[in-house]
Amino acid sequence: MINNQSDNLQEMEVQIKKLIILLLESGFPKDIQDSWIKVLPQMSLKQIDKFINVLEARYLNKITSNIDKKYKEKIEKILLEFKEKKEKTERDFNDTLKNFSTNLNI
Amino acid sequence: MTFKYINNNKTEKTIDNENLSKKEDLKSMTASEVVDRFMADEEKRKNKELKLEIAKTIISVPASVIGVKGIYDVPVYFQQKFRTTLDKKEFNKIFQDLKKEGIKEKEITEERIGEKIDLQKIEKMEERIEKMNASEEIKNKLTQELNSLIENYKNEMITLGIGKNEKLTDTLDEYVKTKISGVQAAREGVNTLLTASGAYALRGVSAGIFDSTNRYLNLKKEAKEKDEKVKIFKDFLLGGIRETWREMRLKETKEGDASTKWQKGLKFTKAWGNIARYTGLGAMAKWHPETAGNALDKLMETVTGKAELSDIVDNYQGNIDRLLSFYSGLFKKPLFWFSNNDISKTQIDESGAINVETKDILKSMDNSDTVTDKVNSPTPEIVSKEITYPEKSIIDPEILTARKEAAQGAFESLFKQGKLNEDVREKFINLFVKSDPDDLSGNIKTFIQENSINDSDAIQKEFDELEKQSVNQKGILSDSDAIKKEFNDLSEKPAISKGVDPETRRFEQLQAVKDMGRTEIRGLKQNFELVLGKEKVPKSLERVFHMMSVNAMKDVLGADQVFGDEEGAKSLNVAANLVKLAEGKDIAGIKAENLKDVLSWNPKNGALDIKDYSKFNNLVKDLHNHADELWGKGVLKEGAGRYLNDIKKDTWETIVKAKGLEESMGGHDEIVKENISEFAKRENTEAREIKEAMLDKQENIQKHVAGADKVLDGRDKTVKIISQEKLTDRVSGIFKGKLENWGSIKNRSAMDFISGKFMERGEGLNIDQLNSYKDLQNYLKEAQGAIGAPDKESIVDYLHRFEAEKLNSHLDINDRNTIREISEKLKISADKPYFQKAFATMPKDIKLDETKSLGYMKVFAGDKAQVGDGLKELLGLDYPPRAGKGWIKSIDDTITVKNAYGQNRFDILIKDDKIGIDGPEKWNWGTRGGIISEVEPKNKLSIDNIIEAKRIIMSKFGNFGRDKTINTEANIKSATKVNIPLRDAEQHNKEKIPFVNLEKSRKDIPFVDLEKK
Repeated sequence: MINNQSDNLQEMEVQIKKLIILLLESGFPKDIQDSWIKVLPQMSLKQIDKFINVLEARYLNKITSNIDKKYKEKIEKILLEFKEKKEKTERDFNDTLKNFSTNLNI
Repeated sequence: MTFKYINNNKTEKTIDNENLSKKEDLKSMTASEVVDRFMADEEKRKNKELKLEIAKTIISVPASVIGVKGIYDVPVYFQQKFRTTLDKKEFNKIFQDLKKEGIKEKEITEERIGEKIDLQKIEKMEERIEKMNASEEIKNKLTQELNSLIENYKNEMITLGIGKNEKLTDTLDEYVKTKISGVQAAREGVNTLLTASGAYALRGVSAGIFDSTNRYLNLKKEAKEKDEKVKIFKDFLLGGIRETWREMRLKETKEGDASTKWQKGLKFTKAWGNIARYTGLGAMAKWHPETAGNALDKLMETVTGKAELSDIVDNYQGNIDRLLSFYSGLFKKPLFWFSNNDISKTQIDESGAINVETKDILKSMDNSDTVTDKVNSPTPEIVSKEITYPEKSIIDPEILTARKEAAQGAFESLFKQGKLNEDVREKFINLFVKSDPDDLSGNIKTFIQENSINDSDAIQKEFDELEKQSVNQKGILSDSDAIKKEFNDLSEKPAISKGVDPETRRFEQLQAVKDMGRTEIRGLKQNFELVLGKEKVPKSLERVFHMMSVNAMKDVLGADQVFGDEEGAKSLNVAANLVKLAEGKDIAGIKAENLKDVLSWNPKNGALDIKDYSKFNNLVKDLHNHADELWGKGVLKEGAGRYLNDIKKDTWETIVKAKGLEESMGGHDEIVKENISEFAKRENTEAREIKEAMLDKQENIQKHVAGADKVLDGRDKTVKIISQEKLTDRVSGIFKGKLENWGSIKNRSAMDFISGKFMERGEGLNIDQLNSYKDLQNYLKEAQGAIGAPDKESIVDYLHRFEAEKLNSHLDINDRNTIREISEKLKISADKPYFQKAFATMPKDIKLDETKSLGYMKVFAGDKAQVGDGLKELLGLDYPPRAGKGWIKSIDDTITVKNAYGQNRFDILIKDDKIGIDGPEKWNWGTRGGIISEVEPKNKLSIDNIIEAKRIIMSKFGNFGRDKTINTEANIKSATKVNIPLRDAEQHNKEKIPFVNLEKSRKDIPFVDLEKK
């Protein structure tokens, strides 16, 4: 859909604002943030788009890291739980074999 | 061998596959595909950075627990997911990333089934069976038993494995969905923040994926069709970045002449170096950015951690180093200091074109993306250049750009010294660009000599200073004036067509103005002082502020090219707020005292002093933002909008063009009368409706008065008999000759009062408004002043009378306690707001009960000594509870009657028109809150519910048997008389249901072989 001029300009303005906010949230040192701003005028529009995406990806991943943490713990718990079950099964099996072996007078 | 299946991976995996294949979700997907499943089509198509970033994370989370090796050969989730794509580039890339994060193969400890079985022991047992002195039948039976043991063990282990895989699969499935939902929610958050912070159209934000390139091309196409120059769009973008950055960082440092091309080059080099070093690309630090298109992409990849640093360094470092000497040489020295050694002969051949080697270098830096960039999205700098390249030049455009940049920088630097003038600018640049590299240095030297430029020391000094500033530079373009200057230099108004019909031309002019309006920083240009009414300065402060308000507006015309309701209402709102602030009154969010150094207003001599125009402009901007919000909420449409009709078109034109204040601000000279809405010709429907409504009220009250022989005077709360004629005169006097003016902007205060406080309910003042009686009086006085009514008292009289009429109606004065009677009995003034509030809040049935109504008023309007008696009367207690021990009042005015009706731990809570019981433990009747908030009653306070509360307390008491009653005999007697209602009985039974430990129960469920099932 081709927007009119006003829409295009407005949407570009929004993206600029977004870029700035994401850059401020990027966690880069301040001088690096400044540096990116200085470099921006030399970037092609496509590169600016890409840069916004990169920053957004970083930001979104960062603020959803609590989800990663939560599920990492869940996975650890599952693995531990099954590890214990497995060890118990192995112990039981070895005990059974031992009894079997005893009965065979080995 | 009987245990040949042990260590049989094929069997194991087959089982796992069968199991997992039952699940349609996420089967055999790459990480990207998994993410794709949950992302919107548009998003996943365009934002591959986001997709890959999430994909990387969702793999690293389990991999950090399970281990990277587990992804390959442990039969869990990701083996299934990546089985078919192990060799794919993406997986290898992700795997490398995981290794970078320190997740190593050695962390894997997953074991194969059977690894822990002592095979030798089993073989020994088999041998022993074989050697037994027993029949074959017995031997076979023993062997079978042994096999059976191993079989069972194997099945148990497989079942465990399946269970683990299922649980992991479900958990990871849930994780992926949660993660992506979280990301999407967070994304919405960013968009919301953008919308809130910038008042941008939600549509623009929520579009989500932004394609600057295509949008730019669209703009370019449009511009071409309109014969406009496209440069403004690029400038808009860059200007926006700078402005926004400055705004966000709130830096106010001065940059002086920092905007020269020369210095920009230096600053840029510094910035480039910073980023390169930060991302581990130290060798790129000195590399000039003009050829850095591809490397910028790589830098971004480095930022995401997606690319291997070593890749970038290996592939690009050499090229960078080789190009470095050439470009840094160009930019690091004044041009005429170049020696022949600065420009290598191997890089540019005799014709001035890049030689094969350099071409290869440049080519090797390009990937397909960059090539596409060049075709579809010319860099902004290239787009914006006005200088014509040599038509048949085979010099790479990027290098050409770099050279021209250097030439312009050099020229500006020299020109600033007054050594050169505009006439030789183009000559100089052409000389620089077209010169053979070998001749360049000599040519420039000659050029400088011809133009009498030989003050190399001065230029050296300037260069050193610029470089010093560059090194110390911490911000970018942080000075608004510098930005404006730079921006204005770059921006061009769209060309206006000539020789077209006036209508088209007019449209183009307006469009041009609109475009410029979006980018210009409007507002006052300087500090000034003026005296209202002097010379051409308007007499009204509001008019002056109105002019400033309109002048500051960027979008002065709406979409229909008309200065209409929205623009008018917003500008008026801003002007009205400025007047308030100037008069020393605070408005929402802005304290007048904070504006002492911004403006001052002396109403005595009409002097308005704008002390700090920059801060004033910011203030106006804030007020406009506020007005935007109000308009968005529809408030202004109902508010200030109604005054627009009272301003004549000529006056609007004066305001819009800021006539009389031209020296202080530009105004909008481009606007003509035709662009201004026909406000004045529209019927002021609201004023008419108000007038009609008021006349109705007048009529009604006259009718009411006609039938009454006495009225309650609102001012002293005494009954006075006045003549009908006098009353009618008073009421009529209010309206006579006034209504026509009430819609006028001059009478806004009165208008707001009448429409807002009086008319909004459609029936005049209600009892609640009596609570703010004094405020009302003050407001009225202000309203009268605003109206300038000669008979000011008549309005007050009218409203007093109206209150009285409503009051009488409400009380229906006859056979019960009136507010005045209660006031006399309780010795509390009926004028007290809290007394009136309590009376107004008192439930109607209590109001009808003489004892309880008195009790209620004692509780909620009485002093401390009266509350106990009041509670006794209201709740029918046997005793008046004492303050502190018997009753307490919480911070939210809830009265708690402790141990009500003598029942320990049963407290009655009452507040306004609500009642509840807070019982032992968690038992309650009609309360809410607790733990963090105060417990408060929620059941309706009525005589019936008071009786019910008593009944419940007496009946429930028995369920908490360990408590002792205070009035045992009476209470037990009372309790035996009532039946426990069904609802209570159910609740009681629930409380008796023993706690079931579900976890424990689950564990007790015997093991079920799922596979067999």
